[in-house]
Amino acid sequence: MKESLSRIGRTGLLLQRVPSLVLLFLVCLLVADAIGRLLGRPITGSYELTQYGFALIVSFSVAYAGLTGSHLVIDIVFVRLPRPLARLVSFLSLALSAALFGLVSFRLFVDGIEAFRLKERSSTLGLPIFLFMLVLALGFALLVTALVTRLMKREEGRL
Amino acid sequence: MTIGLYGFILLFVLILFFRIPIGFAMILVGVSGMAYLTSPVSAISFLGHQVFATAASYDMAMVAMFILMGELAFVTGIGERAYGSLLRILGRIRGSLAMATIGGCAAFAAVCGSSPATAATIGSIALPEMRRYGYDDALATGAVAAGGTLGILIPPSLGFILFGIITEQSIAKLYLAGILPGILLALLFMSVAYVYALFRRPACLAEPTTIGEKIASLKGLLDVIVLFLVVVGGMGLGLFTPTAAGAVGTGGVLLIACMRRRVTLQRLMEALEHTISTVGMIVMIFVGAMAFNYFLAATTLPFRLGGAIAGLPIPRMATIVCILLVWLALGCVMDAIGMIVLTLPIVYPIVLSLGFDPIWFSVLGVIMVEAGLVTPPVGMNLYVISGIARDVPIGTIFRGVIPYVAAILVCVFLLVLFPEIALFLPEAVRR
Repeated sequence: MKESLSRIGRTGLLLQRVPSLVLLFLVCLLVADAIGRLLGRPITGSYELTQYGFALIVSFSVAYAGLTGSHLVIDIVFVRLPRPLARLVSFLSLALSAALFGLVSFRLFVDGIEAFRLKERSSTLGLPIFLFMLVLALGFALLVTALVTRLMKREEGRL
Repeated sequence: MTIGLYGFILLFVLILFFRIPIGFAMILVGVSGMAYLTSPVSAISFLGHQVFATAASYDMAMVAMFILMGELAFVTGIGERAYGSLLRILGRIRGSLAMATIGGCAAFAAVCGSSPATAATIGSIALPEMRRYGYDDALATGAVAAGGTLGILIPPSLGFILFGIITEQSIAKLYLAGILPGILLALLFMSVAYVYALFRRPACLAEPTTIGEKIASLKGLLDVIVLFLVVVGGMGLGLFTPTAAGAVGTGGVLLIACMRRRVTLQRLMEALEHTISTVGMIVMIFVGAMAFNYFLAATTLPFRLGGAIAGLPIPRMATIVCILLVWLALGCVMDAIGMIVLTLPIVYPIVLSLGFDPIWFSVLGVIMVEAGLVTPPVGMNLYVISGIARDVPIGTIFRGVIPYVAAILVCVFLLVLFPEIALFLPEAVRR
């Protein structure tokens, strides 16, 4: 783990630690809620906390998976391509993915602003939904950054 | 309908030739298709909504819980204890080490939903033992690679979560449906190991054990039995939601790890790191599957295809056999998860239109995923075992696993003949 973290640096550490802590919190919350339910005393709002807590986990984990190259690919054809063509294909793939998630990030940001304007809140705890949308938008922006970083490293490697 | 076909072709081009991650490619094609059918603005708006709905989902949180449970089980030594117990129980039966390996895999699968993790956990202990007792490499590696596949069939299973979320079925029912086929397949694998060992020299015999030792060794299976009953039993009886059951299982494994002093902060962080990375990958696949499914549904392709196939003058079962053969072939060249996610949008409506039980079909699908995990050239478990037994040529592992693939096909055949094997428990609990 130390090796992989030193490779991906402080951003990677942040992307890994924040969702890890949220996940541990959710495990504790859900266990406490399950026990509470058996005793007839469930924790109010545990459903919403899990829902939006998971949104925080996803925000960071998609970027973390992008940074560590963990997204699932099928390379049975790719590995047989001639080297220059493989480079071009790899460049196009990363560029296309970065553009797509740039769009997703932008859309989530717009939706977040709209939720803020409409003062949208969760039904039980009254959590401000726009915050989670903006964090998710940030997560996808980080994914774009991770993809662009990999793209640049590839190009540097070529030079 | 034609646009749906073009979408499929484009998807395969992006995945195979451009090496775009499966989830990314499905989003790209799904959104482009929706933009073509409606408008670019509404397609992007739909995508934003879909991403947030998947991320802020209570049900999706179950994925993280069960992955973490498996990751923690990996470091607690639950697998080693179960394997040791089964070895003592089987004693001097021929092939007992290989059978204990498969039994250990089945036991570990009851607390871990990942096949490669199951193969790696049991393989790292069982392979050196089997080789010490003179097992040939093909028998030893084949038993671990095949036994590891039980991880995705015996609940809690990531395969069933995948099927459940994509096809909108009850995860609890799917888990219950996986129990008996999982036990059946484990027994079939053990029979293969026994027969394999009968014809091998040296005799593949382990140390003899007394009846007292056998009874005492049952203690090593206690963790697995308790965790399995709490998680799957609690879910089946409606005491917990699947997400809460995953958290309770994770809490249980963590508690066992702390009691045995098997967990350090570093190990916990490693388990969390793997979980976070896998969650990121799986969520993107789910978002992609949703976007692509939505696009396909808008083209009406799956329904028309389903109607056309239902109208063909061939027996219903022939269609199922064709689907299973296609999955078997695809499993040889594609990652098992990718294979299911890519084909399910077309296949599932066909199965429904033919009137088959979706729970039964999902069990068959997960078993075909298992076959994909051990069929060359891309069977993930084969490479996990190759990583543990570095001096064993991959060809030997391929050879060793062939009889177990035959056992998987026998299991499928039995499930086709007797769907009750899968449907008995969900129906019994419903009653």
